[in-house]
Amino acid sequence: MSPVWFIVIGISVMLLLAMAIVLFVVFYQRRVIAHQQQLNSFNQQKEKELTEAAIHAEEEERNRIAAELHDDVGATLASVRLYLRMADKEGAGSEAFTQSQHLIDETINKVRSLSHRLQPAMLQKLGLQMALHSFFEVFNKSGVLRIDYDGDALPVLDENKSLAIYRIMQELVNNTLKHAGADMVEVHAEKNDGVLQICFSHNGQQGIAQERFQEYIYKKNATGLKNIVNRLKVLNGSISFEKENNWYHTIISTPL
Amino acid sequence: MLYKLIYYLSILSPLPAIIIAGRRRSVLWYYVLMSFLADITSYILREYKLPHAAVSNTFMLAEFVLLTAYFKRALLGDKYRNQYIAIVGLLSVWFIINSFSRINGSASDADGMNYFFTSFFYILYLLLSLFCFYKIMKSERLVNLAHSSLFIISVAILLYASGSYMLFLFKPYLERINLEMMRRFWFYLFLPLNILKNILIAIALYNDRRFAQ
Repeated sequence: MSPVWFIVIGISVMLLLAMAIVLFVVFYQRRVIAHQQQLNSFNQQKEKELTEAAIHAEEEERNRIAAELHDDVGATLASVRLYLRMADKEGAGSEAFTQSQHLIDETINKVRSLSHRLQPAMLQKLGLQMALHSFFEVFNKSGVLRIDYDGDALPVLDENKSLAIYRIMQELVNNTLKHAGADMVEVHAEKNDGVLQICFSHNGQQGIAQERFQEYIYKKNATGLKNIVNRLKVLNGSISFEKENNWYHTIISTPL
Repeated sequence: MLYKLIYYLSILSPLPAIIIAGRRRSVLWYYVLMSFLADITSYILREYKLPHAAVSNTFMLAEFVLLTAYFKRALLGDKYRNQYIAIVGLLSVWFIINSFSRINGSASDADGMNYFFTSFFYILYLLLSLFCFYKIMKSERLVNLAHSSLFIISVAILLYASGSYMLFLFKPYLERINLEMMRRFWFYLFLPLNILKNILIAIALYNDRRFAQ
């Protein structure tokens, strides 16, 4: 065999080896990426399950506290009120006595209100739309905040979704009262291509900007916002923020 | 005719990389610029039948310095700067001394080009490319290979050096025993590999520009 052919074979072998190495690197990297994607997907699923479990545990605890408030504390206060009325009839009508009755009435109302906030009975009995309407009416009647609610497009949702959206609305109203300095809120729900969108808008001095949302999430005291984000994660939903004409809009989207 | 076409394409192949890089003057940009200037100069010297060994040897040395600088930064970052300068400096001096003896006709290469050292450099480039592949595979950060200029440059240099190493090692021998075969290797192997290398460098520079913005 001519020496030239050895050179030809040598060059061919080197080129083939080089191409084999390149292909090996490409296929190896693809495998690594696929494995990483699988791992990320698994981690996301686990995180979602953990969040769901945490939320479920929180709701169970709220239900338990609400039930004990209503059944135990509420019942005891009602008994105290009954005895005070009996004592009043027997002629113990001093001013301190009358004040005590007023305070007991006020306490019973507060306990009832707290119990309903912890365990919204209307949500379970009449559905999300009525529960939100009732919740917003409390603020309208108090005069602290005026809430215009348009929930006609709100469809019938399952218990978990309804509860999650109810809690989100509660958090948004609480945050608005605590931080925004607003006197008007508008809540508008609409359905688009299998996605429920609820727009919560207020005219306060302070609000969340989309660019700073991630920053807020990691703040120590942003528990309300974190709760909203966690509940949305479980629903595979999303949240976004806009500002237009001095109104702050929070848009919650969740697939139906 | 085909030989001429391949030859001209090879001379012009660095131009896309030079244009694409724009104002981003990196080591690779200087490398393709040197490649273009060396090819143009060699072509002109050949046309006027003047010796061009010095130009070729100068380009080989510049290629060595620039490519090792690129690989050094990619593999080691800013570490071992002094050691790198010392090793490259020593090898460069050795190359220059060796090349002078060949140009003066005292060594075996008839046209004065330093093929032995060039082959040695190509083995070095091969090894450096393999180290780059290893680094990419071991990277904790997932690398999208299509966007990775390091991967593309490593492929370019690996293929170029693999095909050219043995050719340059045996070029003087082949020219003595079978000049026609040598011409075929040069025009059908080395020059297309050169074109491929420059195209891949252009793609890598384009990626750098695109993903840096």
